[in-house]
Amino acid sequence: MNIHAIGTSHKHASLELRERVSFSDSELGEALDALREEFASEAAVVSTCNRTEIYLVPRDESFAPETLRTWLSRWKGVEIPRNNLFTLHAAGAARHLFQVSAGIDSQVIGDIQIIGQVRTAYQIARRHGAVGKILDRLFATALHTGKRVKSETEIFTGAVSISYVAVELARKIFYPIANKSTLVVGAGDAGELAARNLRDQGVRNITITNRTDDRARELMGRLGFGTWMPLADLPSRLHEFDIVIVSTGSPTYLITYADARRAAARRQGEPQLIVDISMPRNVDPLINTIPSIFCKDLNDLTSVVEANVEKRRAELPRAEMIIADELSKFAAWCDLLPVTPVIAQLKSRGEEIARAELEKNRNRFNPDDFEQVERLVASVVRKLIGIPMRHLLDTGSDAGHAQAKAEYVRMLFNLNGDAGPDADPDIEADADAAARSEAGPEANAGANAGANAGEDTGHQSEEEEPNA
Amino acid sequence: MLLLARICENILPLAYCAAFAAYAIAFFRRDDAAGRWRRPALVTALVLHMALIYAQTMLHGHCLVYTPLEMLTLISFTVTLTYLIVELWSGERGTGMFFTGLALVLQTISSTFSSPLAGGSANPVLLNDAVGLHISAALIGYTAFSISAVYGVLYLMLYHQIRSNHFGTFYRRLPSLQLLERMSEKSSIVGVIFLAIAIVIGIVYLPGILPNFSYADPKLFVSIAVWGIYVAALCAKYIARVDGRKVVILSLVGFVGTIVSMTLINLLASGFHRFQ
Repeated sequence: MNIHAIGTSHKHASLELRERVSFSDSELGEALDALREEFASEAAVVSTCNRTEIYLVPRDESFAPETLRTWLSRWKGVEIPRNNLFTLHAAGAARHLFQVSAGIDSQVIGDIQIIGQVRTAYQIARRHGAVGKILDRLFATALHTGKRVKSETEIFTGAVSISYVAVELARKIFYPIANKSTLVVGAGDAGELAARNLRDQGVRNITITNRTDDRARELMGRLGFGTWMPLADLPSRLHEFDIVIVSTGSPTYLITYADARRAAARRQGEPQLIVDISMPRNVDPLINTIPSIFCKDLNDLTSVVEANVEKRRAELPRAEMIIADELSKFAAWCDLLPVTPVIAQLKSRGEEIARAELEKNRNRFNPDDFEQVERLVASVVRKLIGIPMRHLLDTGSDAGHAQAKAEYVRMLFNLNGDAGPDADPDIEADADAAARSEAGPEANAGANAGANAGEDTGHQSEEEEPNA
Repeated sequence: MLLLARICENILPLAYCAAFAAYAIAFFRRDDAAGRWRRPALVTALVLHMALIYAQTMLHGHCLVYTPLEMLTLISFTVTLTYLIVELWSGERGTGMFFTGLALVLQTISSTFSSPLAGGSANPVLLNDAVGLHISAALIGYTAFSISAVYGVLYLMLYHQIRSNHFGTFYRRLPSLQLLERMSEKSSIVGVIFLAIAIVIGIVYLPGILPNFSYADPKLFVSIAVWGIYVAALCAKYIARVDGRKVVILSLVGFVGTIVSMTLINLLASGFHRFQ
């Protein structure tokens, strides 16, 4: 498994350095071409706001990771200290990518965006022809691992930011949330984030109000949506909104019990959610006693965030088990790599001999009989070749042993001659399929994992949060 | 046919148990395998149930409406079938555990206390079209009330979790409060309509068909009372604009009243509603 990984992430470098070594999508193609030109037979780059990682299969067995560090420094025009980079090799590199894809290496455990980002890196590398057999399998398995961790554990569930907890709460109360009217009181960061999260959930009717009108209008400009309401109208128009998110620096209550009581009466039993994420509180906590109003403050929401973070942490061992499982399958596939071309050659050689002998004797049979003889010969050849093929595939976990066996079969059947591994791509594909089926049914899953994971992570699930 | 009925009757609680277990494991543990087996287990239980109903109908030459135990198995079947339709229609599987649980309880009681031969000979009254319509309408009505009750209980559980800041498994898995309220409400409307049909047919046509018909039959009183409670709950919602939680509680009072009064009537009272 000659895979190298080099890179940096939030664990190794400051935000400033991460920014300087990151790759934009448009830059990636050129970088991949350069990598392949200089020393890689296969390459892919995962670049997000939190990490830049290069995965490659070197052309030369004696490749030194230091070369890659020098290349990255030269390419980005920045001196990268050694301790700000990690270098990994073989199973270590594969495990790291699986951990990244599973969201357990993220700054916030279970960052759902990472699966999509790994998929994008894979697609870009494929588009530029930089991905070969090994990285193709590596990334497909990584995406499959991410998908398994997502569906089999709770790593990606539960909101871990205050504003998203508020949105999740709204989704648990209202149906459908998209046509609910929302009021955001306060034009600060928290209000903006809440408005954006609500918008992501399809909420279109968003009104913004603030103590200073200019800031509210500024926020609307930044968001590109929403309508404005003067703060003085809040008590009289409170009943118009299903969801109210309050986040200001006001030292007094902006929504009093009396305001809420009046609004509840005018809403005639329709539920209302008031979320107060201000410090000090801007909403009278007594409001929570009104049956149709759900009133939550920072304390309530913080406890949810903490519980969710803890829950995600508790899922780490299960995620690691999935990663270990996928890693062992990937390693088994890698161990079979040396024998796959030999199997293809063996099959090709057998078929070639059969074809030649059949042609020699074609005139001795009438056309109907010849077809039957053709089928018979093909069957005999398949069975004969099957015996060494099975021995080749039965390599256990010893890659050196597999290589030795491959060489022996190559010599025994004189396969170093004309029928090379690239002689017939179909044959190689057959051999690859045979190797996969020998490695077990799960080995095939990885081949399709890219597409599967793509289907599954294209949209955020009900319990996911865009916590990049 | 007797063998088929016996097999189905014994296997059916196990099949419902398997479906319930699959839904429960998927609900609490997000288990992929359980998630995959949920629907096949449910469909298997329904197919077995259909086979049981067919076998018993063939055995006795009439539909299963003689005894409360026969009604229980029919309600269990219709609840499960209705849930499956809702699941296929909405894609919402978070509530399956509760419906399969209800079906499991009803079917286990029915299978434990009845036997395939317990049907007896058919009362000719049951072959009358008006009686058939009356029974079918009542069955659909009570099934709808059962479904409404399940959604109502789920609504109250979720409401309580949100109010008390206990954002646990039910909070994560159940659909939104408004959706649960709407499902409960729609089921109540269906129940009110069909029970009204059953009551009207009963009052208008049955005196001419049943020789011992009496307007003093306790089941008639209970049915009208239950129907009244559900109508009151719907009026509270649409006319008085009472909040969803109170409406759900009122509907649940109606459902509990139905179960308690029907059980007591079947145990203690006798009347023209007994056909054996």
